Amino acid sequence: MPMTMHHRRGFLQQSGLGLGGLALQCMLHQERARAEFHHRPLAKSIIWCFMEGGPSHLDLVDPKPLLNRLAGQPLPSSFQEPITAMGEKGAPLLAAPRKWKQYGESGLWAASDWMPHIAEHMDDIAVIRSCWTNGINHSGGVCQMNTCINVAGRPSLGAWVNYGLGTANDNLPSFVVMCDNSGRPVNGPRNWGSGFMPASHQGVRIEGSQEEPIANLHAPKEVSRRRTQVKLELLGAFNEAYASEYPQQSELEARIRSYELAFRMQAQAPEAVDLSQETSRTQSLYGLDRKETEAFGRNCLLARRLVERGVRFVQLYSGTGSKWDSHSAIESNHSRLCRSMDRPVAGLLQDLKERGLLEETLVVWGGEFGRTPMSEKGDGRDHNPTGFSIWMAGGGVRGGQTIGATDELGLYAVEDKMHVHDIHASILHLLGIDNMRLTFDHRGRIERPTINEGRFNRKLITG
Amino acid sequence: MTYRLIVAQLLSCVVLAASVRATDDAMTHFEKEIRPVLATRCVQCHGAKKQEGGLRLDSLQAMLAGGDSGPAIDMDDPTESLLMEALNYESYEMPPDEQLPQTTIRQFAKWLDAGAKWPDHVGPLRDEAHEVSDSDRQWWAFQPVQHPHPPQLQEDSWCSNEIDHFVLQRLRDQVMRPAPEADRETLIRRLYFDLIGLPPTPKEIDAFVRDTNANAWEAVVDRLLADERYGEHWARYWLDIVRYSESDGWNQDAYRPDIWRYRDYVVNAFNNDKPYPQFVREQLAGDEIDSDNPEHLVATGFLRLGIYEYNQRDARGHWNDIMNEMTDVTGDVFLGMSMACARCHNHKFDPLPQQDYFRLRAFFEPIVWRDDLVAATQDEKREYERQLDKWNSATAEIQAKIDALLAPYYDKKWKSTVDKFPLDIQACFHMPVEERTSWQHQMAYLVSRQFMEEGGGPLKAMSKEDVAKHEALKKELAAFDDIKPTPLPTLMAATDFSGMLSPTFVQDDPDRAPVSPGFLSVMSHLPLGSSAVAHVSVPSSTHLATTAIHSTTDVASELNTIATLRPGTSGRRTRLAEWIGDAGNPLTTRVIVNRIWQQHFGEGLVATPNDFGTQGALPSHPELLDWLAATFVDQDGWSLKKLHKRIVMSSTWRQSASHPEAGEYQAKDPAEKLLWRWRVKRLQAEQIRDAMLAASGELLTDVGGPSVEEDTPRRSLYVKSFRNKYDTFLHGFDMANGLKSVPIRDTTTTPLQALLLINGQYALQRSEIMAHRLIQLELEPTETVSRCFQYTWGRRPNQQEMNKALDFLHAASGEDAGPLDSGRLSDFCHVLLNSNPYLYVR
Repeated sequence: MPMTMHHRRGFLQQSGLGLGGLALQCMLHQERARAEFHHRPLAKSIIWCFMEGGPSHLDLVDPKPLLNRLAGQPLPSSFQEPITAMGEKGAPLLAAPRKWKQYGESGLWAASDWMPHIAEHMDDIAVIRSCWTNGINHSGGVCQMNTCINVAGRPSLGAWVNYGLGTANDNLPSFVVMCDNSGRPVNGPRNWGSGFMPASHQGVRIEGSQEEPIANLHAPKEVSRRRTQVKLELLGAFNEAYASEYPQQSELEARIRSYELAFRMQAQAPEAVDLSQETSRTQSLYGLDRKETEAFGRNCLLARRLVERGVRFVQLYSGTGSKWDSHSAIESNHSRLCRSMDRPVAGLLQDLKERGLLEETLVVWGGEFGRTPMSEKGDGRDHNPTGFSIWMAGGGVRGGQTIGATDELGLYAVEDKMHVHDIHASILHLLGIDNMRLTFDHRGRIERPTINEGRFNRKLITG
Repeated sequence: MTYRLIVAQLLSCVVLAASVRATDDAMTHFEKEIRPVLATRCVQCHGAKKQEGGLRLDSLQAMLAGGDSGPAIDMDDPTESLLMEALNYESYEMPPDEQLPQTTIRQFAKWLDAGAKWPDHVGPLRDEAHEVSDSDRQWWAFQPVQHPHPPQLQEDSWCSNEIDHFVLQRLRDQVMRPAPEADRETLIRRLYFDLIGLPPTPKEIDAFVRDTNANAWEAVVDRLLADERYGEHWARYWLDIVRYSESDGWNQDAYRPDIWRYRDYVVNAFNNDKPYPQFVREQLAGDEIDSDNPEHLVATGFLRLGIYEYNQRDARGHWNDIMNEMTDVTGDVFLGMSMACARCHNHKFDPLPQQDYFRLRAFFEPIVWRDDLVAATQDEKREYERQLDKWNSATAEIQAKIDALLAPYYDKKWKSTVDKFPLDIQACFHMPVEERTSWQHQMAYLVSRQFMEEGGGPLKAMSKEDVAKHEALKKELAAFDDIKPTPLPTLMAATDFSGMLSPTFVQDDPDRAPVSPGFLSVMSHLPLGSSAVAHVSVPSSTHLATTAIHSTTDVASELNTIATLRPGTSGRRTRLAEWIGDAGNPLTTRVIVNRIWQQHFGEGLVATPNDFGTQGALPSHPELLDWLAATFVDQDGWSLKKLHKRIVMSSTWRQSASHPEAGEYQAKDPAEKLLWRWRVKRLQAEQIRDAMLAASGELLTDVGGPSVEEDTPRRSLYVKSFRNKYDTFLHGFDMANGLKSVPIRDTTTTPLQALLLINGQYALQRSEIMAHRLIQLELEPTETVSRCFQYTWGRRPNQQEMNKALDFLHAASGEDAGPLDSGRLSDFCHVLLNSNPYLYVR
């Protein structure tokens, strides 16, 4: 139970000193003072664009000429048949009718015509083509991409970062999640939960398009601000009197401060999510002026504003509710989703770059798994956890490169494989955390964010 | 305060605290930085098994003693140690395959420099071979429970019972004294929340405060322990430990409509003061008890509490995960041993070889989940069958038509369901039941469950025309509803497979050597009732109970037990339950007694209730813990209610939260391990919600039954829980999430909680209803205000508080008192429900 309120309290009390305002704020704000970097961080914050449902690496970033040549035939016997989620047996290979070209000075063949805007930033992007994961279903896959394991119960990566580094702002949550529709991602809030850690480390879902971006941020309309103010004054008096009876119980003091912080948050959060402060050029850069890109574009722009205000970990769901899941009709499904995501993500990269923020902001793009080269229901693809791609940009990542490779059909990762453990270890490393040295004492058992596995792939920064 | 001053303060915190914490820090440093490296990179060649160069690196003594080239470490000049030379590749080059990273080598230098601190309570470092040694068996938690006499003290008038003797002695050793007893208003509120989870009513408070009878306290204690609300409150704690939730988890997170019966079973077990070993046995093996009591089957709901994925085609992996998780939680709950580490490798710190993990798992290997059983007695079942026969014969024709209509849909769905699985799993499904092994049957079960649940079930694809026909037929059938018997209550249960039992294998064991059920090796020295079968040998595939378990040395006693088993079951879990529930099992008794203590005081005598191993905390009062455990078994016959009573009757529990020497004592004993006062603690999520409902007068008192939505004003115990839903009022205050065993709730303090209470609808609405209720009583304003305080703080206000309240309410007192404004009164109630004297128990 390291550094929970309880222990911090003991620590402060031992000192025999009173409780300074700053110290209390540290406690409340998840131990801001604790920010313990294991090495110099390359990224200060992360924006993770999560393509929920599993985008097809074969159609987006990992071209496979052999797939088109063998289209219509069964998987060659030299490939081991995987257990697939929908279990269609002996399904023929499905061609990927995309157009590919080289982009940037690096000249990478790593962007299809489904992502023309992102493609313009290829020199800033490192595509990891050799990812693999364990869960074959969405629930396990999304759970693992967030918590490093497919079974529920562990803290999400954002919670680990929150725990490890604390907050970098005074008035906003440190770990924020946004979805591009009013639905709910697979597994729900568990994806940004804190698992066995105290709940104060979990992510907070923000509804940027709502009047009330954070739940309960404002009292109901019929309760005037003045009325709440009067209540708080009396509450303060009662709580101060109670706390003064037990000067050694700093938790009581902490709760008084929690109300003060809540009201600072109430004042600051609306400003943070107020997009009217952005120029129309910026808004259109993110596609806010187009129906198809408005929802995700808004979240991307909000993400930049939050990062600017010290929010460390932002996760943006695209296709919230497994919309990228294309068991059939992948052509229309991915066309639509790529259109909704491509311009906003490209806009985010460009905007961050123009503001000098890309260097310190890690942008991660990817889903919970990829898709099979085999068809499903004739014109779709099943889940592929054994080989898929994600990409990273900014935050110290060396762009214009690909890392690792899948086999000739894109079914299995074969070269320089990166498990989710390694992906998380790499993200943590870029944020200044050594995945083996960040520990949480879970009732006597030392836990690490990547379950004692995983290592930083140095190629991300060296090329 | 200037920035500089703050920094100065923080720095001085560090300095002052430094000496106190130095030892702790050194240990942490060793555990985090040094031990893992030694265990993974060094002791393979320099440990118990191999001693290259005559050197061992698995204990401090061994390092000091050194090997052929002399001591590995030199405490006088640590930086010149041979160990450092070797790590730096200056003379020896160790480890030989690859030099350790510079950061790691620096950690070793730091460790040596700080005096090479090595924890003194653990044995030598383990390498992979991991034999359980005699020194492992010396660990305190594996020692038989002692029966210590309470210390005799000079001048012991403070003591109410034996507990106090132990506590007072420790305090006197430190020249400390206990806090005075808390006042009666404080005590009665504390007791109510502690025993029944709800606040006392103003009437109950007044009655106790006025009761001068010497037995007044005991009378309230007895009354509350006999109250049904006691079971409702304490069941919640058990439900946390067994990671109870009412949904499947994973993606669909489907609701489990029958699992509440298990919750009610737990409530009743507490209310009926079921002896603990029986409670254990019913949950682990209720199905094996040869009885007609449906409760025994309901109790096996424990074996159904894990998560389940409705559309997982990797049936093999899915079931494996389910079995492992069941094993983990059994270790956590009943043994207070964190087993999970030993699943993938021998436990790095505790004497738990990987074999032990799979021996424990083997007890569960024959399990099949049953959805076809009912919570009914034989008589009830016979009567039901009789009525059903009548209904069947009256409706045979209609039913046949329905069957014919649905058959093609069922056939199609069966085919599509089964086809999605890998071929070997499909084969299990197609095999006749009597030819299956238990594993094959488990696979077939997982396949068949998807028939009903995946893709909306078989009837989702029905044509419009057939739907209409179906509806019409159902209408015809409904005409016979008056003779149709009410279905018997369904439940979630588990039993053994009655055919061939599949063997258990150690994960990734290339030889696939079968592992028999067996108990922890480290406890094999204890004379437990079943110790003769510490390594139960089970043929890899066996039929039926009579041969399923036989001891290598004591077959007669085996058969004795097995005679009481229901036929067709292996008896493995019964045997496990007996071993756990053996009065001589030192883990079981200490673990449960410690859990109860923890819930009363906020922290256990062992602060890590699920981990009594070497990574857990040592007991703060070892003799007291043993006295409690021994008394619990020998004198109290495993009665939890008697244990509660001993605790709340003690002077230790009745101390005030204020102590005149608090400041000084804090410096001496910052964690307050010595129990020199009561520690103020926040109400738990359920208590906060329930007490609000009590204050507003809305709380319904129905006990048991199916769960309800959060907006129904029943106790929070009865609110539906979902594993994927975190955004409820209850979760805002750290309710357990049902994913892992939660032996201690976190208590967080966050701005989001403040928003939830001050802006959220739930508290606002309760305040309005509370105000409304008070207005209707038409009391004097001062009396109304008094009631407000009593409902929330459990006491009447002092003059100052009364004045503040009247001020806030713009109310005059005395004769000019007019009626109170209901809006202001509601705001006032809202303030009280947000206040610390409400949210905390002192």
